[in-house]
Amino acid sequence: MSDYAVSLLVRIGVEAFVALSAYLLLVIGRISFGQQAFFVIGGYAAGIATALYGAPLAVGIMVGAVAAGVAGALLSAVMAPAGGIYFAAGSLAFGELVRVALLSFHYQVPVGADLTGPAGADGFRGIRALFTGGMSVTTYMLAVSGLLAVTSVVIVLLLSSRWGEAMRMVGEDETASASLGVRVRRVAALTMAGAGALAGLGGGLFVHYVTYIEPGHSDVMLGVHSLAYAFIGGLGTPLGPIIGVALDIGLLESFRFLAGYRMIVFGGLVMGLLVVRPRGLLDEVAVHRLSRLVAWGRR
Amino acid sequence: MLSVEGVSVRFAGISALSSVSLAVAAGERLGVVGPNGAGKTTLLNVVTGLVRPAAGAIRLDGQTLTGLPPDAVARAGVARTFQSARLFSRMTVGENVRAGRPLDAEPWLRLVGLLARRGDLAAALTPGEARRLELARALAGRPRALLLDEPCGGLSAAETEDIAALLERAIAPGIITVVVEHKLRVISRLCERVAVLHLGEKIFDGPAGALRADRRVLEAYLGKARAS
Repeated sequence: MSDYAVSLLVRIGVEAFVALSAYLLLVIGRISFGQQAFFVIGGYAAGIATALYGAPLAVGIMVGAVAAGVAGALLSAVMAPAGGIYFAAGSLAFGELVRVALLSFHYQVPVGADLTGPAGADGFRGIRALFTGGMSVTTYMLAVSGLLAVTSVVIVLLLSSRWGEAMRMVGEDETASASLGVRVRRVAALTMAGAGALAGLGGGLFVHYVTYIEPGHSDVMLGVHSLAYAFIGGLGTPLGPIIGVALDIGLLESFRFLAGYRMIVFGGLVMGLLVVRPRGLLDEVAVHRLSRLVAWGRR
Repeated sequence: MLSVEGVSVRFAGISALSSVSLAVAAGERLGVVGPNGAGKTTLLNVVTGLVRPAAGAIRLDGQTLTGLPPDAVARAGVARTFQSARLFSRMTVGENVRAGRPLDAEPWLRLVGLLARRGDLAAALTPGEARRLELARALAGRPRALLLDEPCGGLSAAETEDIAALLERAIAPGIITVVVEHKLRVISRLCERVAVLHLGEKIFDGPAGALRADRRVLEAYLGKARAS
């Protein structure tokens, strides 16, 4: 497989984690423009764990996910009761808060002959655990894909569990959910923490592939794209956001003649789909019909 | 016993309920009627914790519900339906009955005649079926108190008859039931006792049979001139 294909697949995998994090929040009816913040928190934390403290790659990536999950939990203390436009605005503000804070974040320690660590606007370079550990990029791509597959299965199982029913109920009608005994704030808070951890997992995977991260990686467009991926692919299944990422990065980016027009095509695609299929290609109705078809086929 | 003791509710200075008191015993069915804007739904909202009272107390079997959030009120044993059926339209009929709770939906769907539709999305139900599903969902939690907000609202005569018959057989003995309804025929059929609200005040509380003879009730519905 060519380096370009490997790079494309790693990018699809990494962004799929951010898209899944936005998707989880959409399940509970929250539109977030701030998942990029958890992505960079995860990236910085994972990088610090491996590059500064010598943690193994897998441990470092888990540290990133946990750090972003904790950030999600902290944010939920303020934002869990908020919904609609207030949550969207608050998440956008949080994303910008993190980006600006990272511009001033200096934490460099001597590693060998060099100073390594976050250096404000200059970012954080030299995160080489993937390459010093001897793992090939192809193996890494397979590991990212495998982790994504496992994560998707876990989310599918979660959403079909009692807890998942409560999440979907909250996403449809908080008043009716509360009147049935669902602790709406708790569901929202735990989902925000989980969504943060997922985006942080993506950040940890990303930072070890590209060996650096900077405040610019917390650009709001990553949050907007992760939302759009879920809306393109559909909100009826966790496969929806992954399909959305694959359509955007896999299809549009790989057609070189579209390179200059990618954002125009992408924007048009999102607009058109939101008009025709407001909840994406694989919305709840489509997924329900497909699952009935599969059940019928098994008989 | 569900008791509402001197409950008042104000919205931006406007009184929606003024010192309303009611007590409903276990197994009793209380009908609540009144013209539009009388405070009927506000009464249900304040009992279920969706609205906080400005004054007064609400108790269920001695347990204070006043000030509890709606989820805590529900877990204390109060179930309700809404004026317009509030189903989770993107979930299946079976999931709507379970509603995240550890229970088997099947007996409740059989009770309301929707077992064959357990795998359908709730969005596909007719208004009458939606009402039946909402009732099954409320009953499935085995509540101590059941509050029904216009269970026959917006239904045809045939659907109203279906729902009234279903309510008669589905509500287990011992459940405290409060039915808010405009259709007096339904109230007379289901409830032994009726309370009438008018402009946030309770103006009548007594046997359903005495309702039409009460002067204040006639005035509330017909106006003073026509009532006399």
